[in-house]
Amino acid sequence: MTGRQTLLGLENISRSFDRGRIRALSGVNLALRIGESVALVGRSGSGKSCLLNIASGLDRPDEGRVLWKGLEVTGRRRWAALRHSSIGIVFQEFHLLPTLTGRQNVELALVGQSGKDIKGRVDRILGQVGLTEMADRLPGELSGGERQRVALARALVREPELLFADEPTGNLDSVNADAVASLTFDLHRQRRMALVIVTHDPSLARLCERIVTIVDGRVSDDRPGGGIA
Amino acid sequence: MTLTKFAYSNLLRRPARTLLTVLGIALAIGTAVALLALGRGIYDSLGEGFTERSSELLVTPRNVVDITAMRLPETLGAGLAAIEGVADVSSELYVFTSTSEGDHVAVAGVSDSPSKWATVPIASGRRPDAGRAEVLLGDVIAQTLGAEIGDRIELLDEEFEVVGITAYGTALNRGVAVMPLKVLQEASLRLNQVSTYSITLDRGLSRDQQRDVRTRIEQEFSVVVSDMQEIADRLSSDRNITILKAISKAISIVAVVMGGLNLLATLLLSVQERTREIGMLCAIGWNDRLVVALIMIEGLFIGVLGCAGGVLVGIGASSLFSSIPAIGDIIAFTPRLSDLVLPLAFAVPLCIVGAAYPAWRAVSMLPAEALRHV
Repeated sequence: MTGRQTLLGLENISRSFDRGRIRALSGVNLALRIGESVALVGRSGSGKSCLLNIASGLDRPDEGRVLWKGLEVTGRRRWAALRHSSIGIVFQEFHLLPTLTGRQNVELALVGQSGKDIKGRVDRILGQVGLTEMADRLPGELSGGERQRVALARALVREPELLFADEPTGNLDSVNADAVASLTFDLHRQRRMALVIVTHDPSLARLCERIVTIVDGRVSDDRPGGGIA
Repeated sequence: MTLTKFAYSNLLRRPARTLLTVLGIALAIGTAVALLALGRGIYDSLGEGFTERSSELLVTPRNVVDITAMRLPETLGAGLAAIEGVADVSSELYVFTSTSEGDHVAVAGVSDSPSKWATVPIASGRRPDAGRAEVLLGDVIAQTLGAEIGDRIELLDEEFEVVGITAYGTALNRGVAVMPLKVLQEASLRLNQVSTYSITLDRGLSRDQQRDVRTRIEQEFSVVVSDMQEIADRLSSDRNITILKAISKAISIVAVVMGGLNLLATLLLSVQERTREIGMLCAIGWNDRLVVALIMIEGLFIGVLGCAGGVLVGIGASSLFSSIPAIGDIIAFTPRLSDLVLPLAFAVPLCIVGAAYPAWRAVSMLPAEALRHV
């Protein structure tokens, strides 16, 4: 593990809201290596999701910088290109479009992309998440676990190097939560893709190689988990 | 899933709103097209009316655009006939009057020239006898006055017998009463005066020779010689017609701007409702260009449908107005391609702006803010 190159680096990241009255992150430093899995844990409001947003370029830090393979990433265009080519994101709330089928929701991630094998890529990822049979159903016709699998397929169809998952099992019952967690880690290992999971679930956190605890916007602990690279 | 297909599916998510927006734009464009057709219809009616009633050239006084205020001496006719190249000369007097019931009537007095009367088509009845108080009525004015052949009507404080109905085709002439020139001169107290002279030139004259004849007449008699289109141009510069055309143009622009604002409001609302969705699109790798393109395509769909619908509404409304006797009998009301140019020239940029502003708003927000949007 020690020999792996750093994929994503966060240096001295600070972020506040409400004109500085709410300090979400204070001087956070974190490095994520290629193919590594990291769980971000902490209480609600500790700054985990805020850190994920900044690490994925969805939000801007007030201070500090984000590095991708050693190079600082700045600007909307650069971040959009990075999310397009190398980063996938899964949210707790799925964010699926209700009028599009599961397949069409996955295809959204490939809109504007040229290439002949788009259908093949969508079919492959739907097969990997076990949704081939239900791909043409609308989100309203799917269970919570199936919806999250569609969201996972949408995040992975571009074959990213890094997957961010913001409480991916937070809206699921225990059976579906286990299934989605298991699937996520299987794909992480198969694809040698780095994984950052924000979670309250200790059993899910223990599947990661590292567990980083955030308290009041600071990294208070960074220890190995039970996951194997 | 292509960008176009996605844009289309987004519009179908709110079909009622999309349809109402398209209808709003269509009505705006349709109103503009119909109003512009109305303005041009007045001009065309004048041109067609004169072409139907007169010969090749019309002689009128200088610096007068109101046809009822035109005065030329009757003695001028002989001078005009003496000009080399002039084959035939006839004269007309125009008077506006009202009946005892208050209906306005345009009356034309036609000189006793066989060639001139040959241009007056008669649908039923006969030509008025020279020197007698007899009148031919256009079918529209006959209907307005409720008069039939054999009835007596009061014009210029005198009684006239209706001896026939004309068969003119243009809206202008269908509203005109025609009587012998001498009768109208006496009734209107404009003895020895005419409004215009119609001239037919010798056949076989070259264009240069025709121009020479016109120039000679203008120089010798201090008058203006015009062909029928030129006279229509002059009359359409009348202040009332100019004001009417300006009003129709101004209302057209207002209607089109309202259509553009309608599109802007719809797309702004749609973008605001879909703020989280746009945040999600950014999160899954869409760049600003793609998001802007999506919203612009949605705007374009609505705009193109609205404009196309507007053209149909405009043509439909014009046809409808033409079929209403109170309108169609007075003004020719057929939209032409040129009537579409102004509304579409305004509508297309407005639709682009109407779509571009919400698109700009959509991408000016950080994706995380958009995802948090309630």
